[in-house]
Amino acid sequence: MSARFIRVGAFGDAGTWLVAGAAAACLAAMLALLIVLGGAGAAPFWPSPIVEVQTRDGRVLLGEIVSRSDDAIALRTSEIDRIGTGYVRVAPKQFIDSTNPDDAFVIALTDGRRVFGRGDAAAADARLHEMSGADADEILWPNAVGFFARSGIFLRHVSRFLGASSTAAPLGGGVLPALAGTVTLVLLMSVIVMPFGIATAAYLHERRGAAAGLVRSAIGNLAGVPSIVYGVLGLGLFVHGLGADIDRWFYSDRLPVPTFGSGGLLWAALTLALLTLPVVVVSVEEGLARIPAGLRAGSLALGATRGETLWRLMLPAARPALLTGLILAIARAAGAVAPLMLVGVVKLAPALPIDGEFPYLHPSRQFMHLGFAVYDAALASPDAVRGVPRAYACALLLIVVVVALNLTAIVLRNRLRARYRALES
Amino acid sequence: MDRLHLSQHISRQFNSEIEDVRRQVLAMGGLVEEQIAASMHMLTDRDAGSSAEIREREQQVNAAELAIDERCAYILARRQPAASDLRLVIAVVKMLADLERIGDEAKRIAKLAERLVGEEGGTDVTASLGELGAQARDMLRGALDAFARLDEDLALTVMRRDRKLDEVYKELFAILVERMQHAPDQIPVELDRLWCARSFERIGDRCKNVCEYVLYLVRGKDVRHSGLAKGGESPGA
Amino acid sequence: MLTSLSDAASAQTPSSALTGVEIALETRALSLWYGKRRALEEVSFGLPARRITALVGPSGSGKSSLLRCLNRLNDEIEDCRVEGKVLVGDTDAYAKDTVVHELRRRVGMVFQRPNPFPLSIYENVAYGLRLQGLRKRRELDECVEAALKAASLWDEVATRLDDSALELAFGQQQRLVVARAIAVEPEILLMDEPASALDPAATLRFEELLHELAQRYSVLLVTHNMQQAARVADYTAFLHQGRLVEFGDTDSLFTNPRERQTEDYITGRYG
Repeated sequence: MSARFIRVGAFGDAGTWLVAGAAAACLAAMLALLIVLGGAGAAPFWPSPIVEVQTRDGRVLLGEIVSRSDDAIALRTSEIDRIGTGYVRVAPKQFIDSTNPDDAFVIALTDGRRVFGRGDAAAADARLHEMSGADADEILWPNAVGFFARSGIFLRHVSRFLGASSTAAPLGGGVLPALAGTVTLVLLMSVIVMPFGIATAAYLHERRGAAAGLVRSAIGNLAGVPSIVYGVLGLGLFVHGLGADIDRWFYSDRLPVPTFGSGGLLWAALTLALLTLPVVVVSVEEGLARIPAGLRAGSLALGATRGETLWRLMLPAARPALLTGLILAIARAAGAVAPLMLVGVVKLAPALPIDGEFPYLHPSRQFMHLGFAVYDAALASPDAVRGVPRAYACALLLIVVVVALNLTAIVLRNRLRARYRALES
Repeated sequence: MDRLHLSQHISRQFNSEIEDVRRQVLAMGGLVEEQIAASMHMLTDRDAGSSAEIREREQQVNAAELAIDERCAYILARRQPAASDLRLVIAVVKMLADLERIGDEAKRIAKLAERLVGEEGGTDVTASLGELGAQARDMLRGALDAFARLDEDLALTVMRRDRKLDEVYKELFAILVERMQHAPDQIPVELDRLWCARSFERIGDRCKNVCEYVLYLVRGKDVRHSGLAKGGESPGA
Repeated sequence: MLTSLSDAASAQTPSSALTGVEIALETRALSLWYGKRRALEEVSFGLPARRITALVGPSGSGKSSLLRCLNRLNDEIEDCRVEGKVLVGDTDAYAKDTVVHELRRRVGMVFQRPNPFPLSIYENVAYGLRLQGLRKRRELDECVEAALKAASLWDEVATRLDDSALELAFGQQQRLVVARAIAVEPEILLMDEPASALDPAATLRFEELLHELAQRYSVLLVTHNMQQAARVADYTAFLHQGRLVEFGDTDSLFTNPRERQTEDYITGRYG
């Protein structure tokens, strides 16, 4: 070896450790997210034991332990008047004893209140009648059942959460409408954004002049706009602008009740489509650019027009990139809750945007959204102690939905990639 | 294309191979020239001393023919020459045959000269033979020069000289026949002299062939059988 | 079809070797500019019908550019200007009312690197046919089979028409591309160094294919390989710095070229 070549400070082992460490940190963060969400999100569905606490000053409190710390024990006792009343703190000094009586029961009322008592079914019935104007969702004796029964209860709670419609009761009710609304919104947004994104990307790929440069910088700027601004844009342009016009032209008999002139599924989907358009355009254009130029030349030489070449050859060959664009669009859209609040998401919608009556999809209807449900449960609920765990549950569900959509697209894309792998060699 | 001149190839290997072949052909031509000169010397000066030398040189000429032939085959196989290079190789292969035959004729003349060494008399005839031989030798030198310089005009000139050579040969033929008729006992000697003259005439024909090949090389047209040497003007390129 | 080259001969053709030969395509004073740079200068020649014509010349002499002018692929390049005429049969290729994609059907092209589409073998060949509106499965089957047979590829792929075309060897891919081009029944085949990416055996097989193709199509073959031009072409054109220097039948061009530049190029004294 020539003495001229002395390598100092080669980026060898240290670099490997750095890279591996970074990758591990990412994985750990992902796991932490899943664990925290999973744990905190699943917790509220697990039936908690009922305790009876005796205090030094002679009170006997019956309820569920909410939190335990050095300062105090917080208990949720019967909520007689409203949700949120009934929380009691017991200082450790006051605390004498706590037991888990087998005959303790909890009544979950339809308006969300929880009432505790002791006794058998007849006693529970009597207690129920004491509560004015409310029906019972379920009555449980959590202390008296074993692990398997509790798991059954857990599953029942989860399925009710997922499957039941929301009710006016805060913190009660399932999230099926929000789930349906989220999925419908994402699908409708995809249907809107993909054609526009592909068309724009195809235009940018084919043309090179000043106009194309203008379009490209416009797309780049769009990408940097904060999502709430999109909400305002949607509100002004779609809801009050286009929506009002549509109402005037087509639904004037229903005025002043707005049909399209208020927030709804269509406007929300359009707003999100605008939001995710740059992502799709960039991804598709990248995919088109990676197709070898010889392919395009070959198609043109066979007598295909540019449009035919795009439609029959290049876009199919760029299918993996199209799916990547879709995946990224879904990911971006999943996180955009703020704009939706302005253009169509409500806390409680009277009907689903998709149902059995013609025309099956109702783009003018307002709808519910899981992301909004997270916000609502965490910040706007009458009982913060129960709201936050519910927020976790909604967040977990949202993540699951997004991951499911992404996984489907990724699996599809990998299958397509295998077919085109030889193309890139 | 008017004047053909061979410039440098990009491939220096190829260039030197072609140049080597040309050089070798000219060297072989030089050997053959020496053969003619030596045999003429034996004839006119009645000196048999050079016969060993002639035999040895004959070996060299034959060896050269084989070597150059092989070289040409290799060039054709490996270089796939085109245009002027191709015509050069083809011309060389043909020239080899003619040069080798010229060498054979010279050897034949030397053998005859050996037999004629002791003969007295016939000095003027011998002198005429010498003239004939000189013309033939000049033709060979001219043909080789024309090849070396790729000189179209020189080749044509040499080709036309063959007619003069033929006439001189015919005159000598007549004289020798007359002498045979006068002195029948001298017929073998005169016949020997006749064969010498015939050999010189043949040498002249072969030199004309070489010039035809040179013209083919330079012009790219095969001028054989076109009566070029008979007519005064050369046909259009 | 034009019958003789007399018109073109009057327009500065350096060759008069083509009287009485049927012409499939003709250029008259064809000039090409890429921006300010002139790539082709008044190129006039006639492509003999159903023969193989080789187009040779040093790099950058405009051979590929000339080819792309003939099927108007140069239209795809920005800032590209063409003057002069290109006549395919009786059609003026650059006339305003010429339908470009129909022209490109009649003038097929095979490129230097095989460029099969990322589709199955069958779909590759059927691509052009579908463009032309052929839809019935049986008609497509027949045409695909005929094209693959004409390209000497049928025997090797008949049992796996649905496999991806990208799995074929390079030599097979190039023949597939030829099949694709001839499936739409062109009149003229332009080939831009089609064998330069192939190994020697595949190259020779490809040259055999060229001879068969020349029975039905008029082939214009750009090649860097002088020996290939010598082996394969009936006629040869020598292009140098955008100008057509010499055009003639291959035999005389390779034994006795008329022009000094041609001689220098084919003997390797220049280029």
